[in-house]
Amino acid sequence: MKGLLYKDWALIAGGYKTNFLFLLVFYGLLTVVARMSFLAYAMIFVLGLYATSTIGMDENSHWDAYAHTLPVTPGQLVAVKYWLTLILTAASIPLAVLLLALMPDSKPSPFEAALGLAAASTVTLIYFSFVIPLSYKFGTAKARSWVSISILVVAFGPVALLALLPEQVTAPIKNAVSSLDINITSTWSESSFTAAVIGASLLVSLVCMVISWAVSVRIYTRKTY
Amino acid sequence: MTNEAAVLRGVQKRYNDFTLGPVDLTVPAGTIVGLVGENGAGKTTTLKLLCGVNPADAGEITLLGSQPSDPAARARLGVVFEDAYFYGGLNAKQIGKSMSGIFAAAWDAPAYADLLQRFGLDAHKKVSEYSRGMRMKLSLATALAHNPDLLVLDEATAGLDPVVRGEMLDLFLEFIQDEGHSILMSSHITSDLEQVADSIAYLHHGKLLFHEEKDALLQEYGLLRCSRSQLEKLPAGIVVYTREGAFGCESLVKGRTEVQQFLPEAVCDPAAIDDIMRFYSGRDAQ
Repeated sequence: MKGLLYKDWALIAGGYKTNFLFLLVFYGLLTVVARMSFLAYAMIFVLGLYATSTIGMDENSHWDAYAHTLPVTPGQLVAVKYWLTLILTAASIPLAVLLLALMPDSKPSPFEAALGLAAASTVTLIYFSFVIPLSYKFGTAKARSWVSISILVVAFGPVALLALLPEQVTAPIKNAVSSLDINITSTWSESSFTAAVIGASLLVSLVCMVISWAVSVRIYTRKTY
Repeated sequence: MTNEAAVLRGVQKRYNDFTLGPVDLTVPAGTIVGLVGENGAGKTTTLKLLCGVNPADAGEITLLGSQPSDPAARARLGVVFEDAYFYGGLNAKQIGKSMSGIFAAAWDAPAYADLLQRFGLDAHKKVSEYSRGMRMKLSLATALAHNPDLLVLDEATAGLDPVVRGEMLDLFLEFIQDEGHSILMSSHITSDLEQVADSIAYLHHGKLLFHEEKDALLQEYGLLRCSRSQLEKLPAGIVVYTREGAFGCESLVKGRTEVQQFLPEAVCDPAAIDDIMRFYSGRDAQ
């Protein structure tokens, strides 16, 4: 596992050194000078992208087939991609915090920033939970289209369903959501609400990653070369 | 240590347009087995099944006393495929470091450095800057540095100049000096196999036509040049395939000694592996 992690790390370090410096300068300047705080959050996603791009590199260099001859299990081979995504996402958070801290004014409050970082990390981890198995299944190029379709279905499917269902079915759901909202705003402090949202996002992201890993291992094991 | 480095029994693999097998093939420990066959005969498929890249649809594969799916068995396996499999942006030093993490204690870093030096490979140069020959040497250095018991080579000498090929063949012979080491190598360059292999396995249209000792094979098969009337004097089963030309017949025969007894006046030269392949494929193309 250590060797696999090193190989992917060497690919990222060698392949994205210049890109990362450019990203740091460009995003940094826009965040600090133009007060575009969303770019600090976007950096989390871009760094996550570095990790999954190694799947394409493996595919192009025929490493995938060769890796099956090495004394490593499919579980380990696939797990490396998830660990890298987690590591790079985690490493990007202090960077994003630094960029937000460097903003001279109009900077988000600590609670807003924490929620923004949690949201960005959750989106990143859930997005790549879709990307990784689909990349193994369809190849990295085709996977992009499948990811877009999957996200449309997952994100807008429930909204569309809610709009299509009759009022007598949706009314109890809407009432439950508004009473939960009232309950939270009246009883929870801002800090406990932030902590709960961050904790829940982290938990959901990690559950998605674990499920995604299990699916990817299944796909990877059945793949033929 | 078992007497067989690898055993395939009734192994089959089906694709939409191709079926391999059933194949029965044994790689005895301490020997070099050459796998020959036309393009698309199933050589790479066979090697991939043996190495655990793809699972077989039927049959049984024993790799170093275990199964290809066992990582412990694969830890004693060295593989060189025809295609390069290290990303061009990496260099030999990074590849060595990665392999050292994968093979753990089995990885011999000084041996890897020695092999790189012996092959004249700059450890800091990117793989993308290497020539094809250099990439194959790097693959071989990577396959050898954990001192494997079985080396599987798929067209490892293809596209290399005679000097580099010679160096690699020397290395294979050196590797096989240890009686516990074995090699299974596929190659279109049959002269390489005639030089180093102990036995030859011939795959044809997904079926193993024969697996025989190289010396016996080259002794047994002959190229007979004679007239049609002479050819008809031979007992059935001796002639594999005949090509008729303006100046008579040229036949691949199995049993050169018998042919010489029946037709002492005819010319029957030993057949090379290329000739054997050429005539067998000619027979089946009919």
